[in-house]
Amino acid sequence: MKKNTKNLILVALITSLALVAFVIEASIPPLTPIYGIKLGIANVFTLFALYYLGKKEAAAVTVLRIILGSIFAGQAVSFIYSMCGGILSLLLMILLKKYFTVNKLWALSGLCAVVHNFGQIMAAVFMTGTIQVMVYFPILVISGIIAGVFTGLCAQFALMHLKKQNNNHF
Amino acid sequence: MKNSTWIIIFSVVIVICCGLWLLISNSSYSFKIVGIYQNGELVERINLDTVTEQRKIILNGDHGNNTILVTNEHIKMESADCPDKICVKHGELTENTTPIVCLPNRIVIKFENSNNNSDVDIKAGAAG
Amino acid sequence: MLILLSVATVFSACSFDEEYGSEFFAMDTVMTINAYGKNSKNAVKSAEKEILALDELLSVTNENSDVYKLNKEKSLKLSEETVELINRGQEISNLTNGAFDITTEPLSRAWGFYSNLKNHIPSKKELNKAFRGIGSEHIKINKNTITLDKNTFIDLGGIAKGYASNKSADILKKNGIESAIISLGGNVRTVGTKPDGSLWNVGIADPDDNSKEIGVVAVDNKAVITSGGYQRYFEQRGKKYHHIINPKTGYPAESGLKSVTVISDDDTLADGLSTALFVMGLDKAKELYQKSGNLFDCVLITDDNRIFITDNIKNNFSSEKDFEIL
Repeated sequence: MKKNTKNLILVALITSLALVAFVIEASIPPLTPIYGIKLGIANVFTLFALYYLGKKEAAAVTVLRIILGSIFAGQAVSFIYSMCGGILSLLLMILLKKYFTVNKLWALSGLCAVVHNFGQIMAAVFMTGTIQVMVYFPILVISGIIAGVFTGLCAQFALMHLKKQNNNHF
Repeated sequence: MKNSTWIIIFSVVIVICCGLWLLISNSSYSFKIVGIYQNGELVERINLDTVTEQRKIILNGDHGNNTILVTNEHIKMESADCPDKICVKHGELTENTTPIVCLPNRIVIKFENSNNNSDVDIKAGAAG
Repeated sequence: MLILLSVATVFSACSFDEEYGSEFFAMDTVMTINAYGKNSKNAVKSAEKEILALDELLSVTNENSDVYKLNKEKSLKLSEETVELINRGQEISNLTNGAFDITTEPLSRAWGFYSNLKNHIPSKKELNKAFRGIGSEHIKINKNTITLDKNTFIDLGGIAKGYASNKSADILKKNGIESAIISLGGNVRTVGTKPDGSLWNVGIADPDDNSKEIGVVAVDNKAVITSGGYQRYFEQRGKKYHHIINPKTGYPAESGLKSVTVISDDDTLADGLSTALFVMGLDKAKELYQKSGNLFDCVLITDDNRIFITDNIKNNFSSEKDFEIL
């Protein structure tokens, strides 16, 4: 199979998996009264795409997932929040990729999650016109680190497992 | 950087943020976000800190009009057509446990913040 | 380690209490119910439904209510709730020697204290006409059939909110709620303790400045109900006339008390007694308290700003001002 076609299929596959994860997570009631605290399982797939396929593919997975996810599970408001957070963390991810090997992926993911939450809170500041929303920032940094490290580890284990298998087979 | 370096960085950030959060939630700072409700439905949400020009909101109900005056950091019922005018006598909205209420026109004006710093959970008072 | 940490935070986040609150208009006032714990939404919704149903039964002005129909027909077989409440009204009237009475409707009407009337000072003639039907002896109860004398009209407004908060507290408990707070237009009812297990702090409104508290009483599972003339009144020729009418004189009560708060397990009693003690004044209130044993506790504020509380609540009451034991 040509590399392009293979990548296209993989992007579609990963996007649909990310979408499933996103929809399932969205259907679980929020854990805390503060908007924005969640695990963000869908991020596992973005990270996976970034290291397994490449930058363009990761961007495609993220953007598609946000657009389709908002159509399936959310409203226009959540689309704006997701976009602001998602794009910001995607950019950081792409910029810093060369400094982080696969076994440091969890750290990169932690950083990206914090930036993601920062993007969301800035969106909230503009949307509500209230700078006071920023008081939630410390708590969102903490939840971002925890959730980001968790999703980063998930992607990291998946990638390392895949690498090991590939080495055995070929 | 080694894994352990990152663990230390993240831990430090978490500890700092915990401290910040405690500082914020214990400070006397409270939001000045006010909700105006009629018939139990939100009419408008206003952040009193960001109000620059004074303005009036006029709501009409079964018993005529109510005029709400919004100025920087303050909100009150300026005038009402209802007979008892309890809402006008209330004056400015000052604290969490006592919203401004106009019974005839079913209007409630109250603070929206949940970080209630007062020790009092609720207030008992003569019925309006 | 980090996985454990993240799992731990997720679980601790899960234990965040569910909470549901509702604010609605009924019985001519604003009502709020806040319940904590599982099933709180259903519980609050059913309590709200019950209050709206009671409002339909007990309103003086709603033409379909039991009370309106009874006032018109004079003899009727009524719903269980209405009969129960009329019985409670009679009981409180006897306990307070008529300082609280459900037959004062004509007096309130003469003063214009109904939403569709205009406030005015009634003439001697108007008052004498109103007095003809006042007193608990004008009501005959035979099982579920209530009969009123010709000139008698009843208004259960003085105890309806207490009854409603009692019923809604029962409904919340039946739905498994162990922590809730209800305010029916300033009539407070607590269910259980706060979610963290501590007592509810109920502020008592300062009669001179309603936006402040004059004291705080910590309670669980109790009704805290305040009566005072500071909220509903009208002014004529520089004098204030408030809505709590003394059934004996026909005029707004001037007993030397500015505010009366009654704390009790029994909301209906607390509601009726807060009015009665306001009419009776400090000395008679003290007499009734001593006579009735542990039926209720109270916080009394006199016109000259002295605060009296009953002995049982002295450890649960706090105020920046001085207070004395009744």
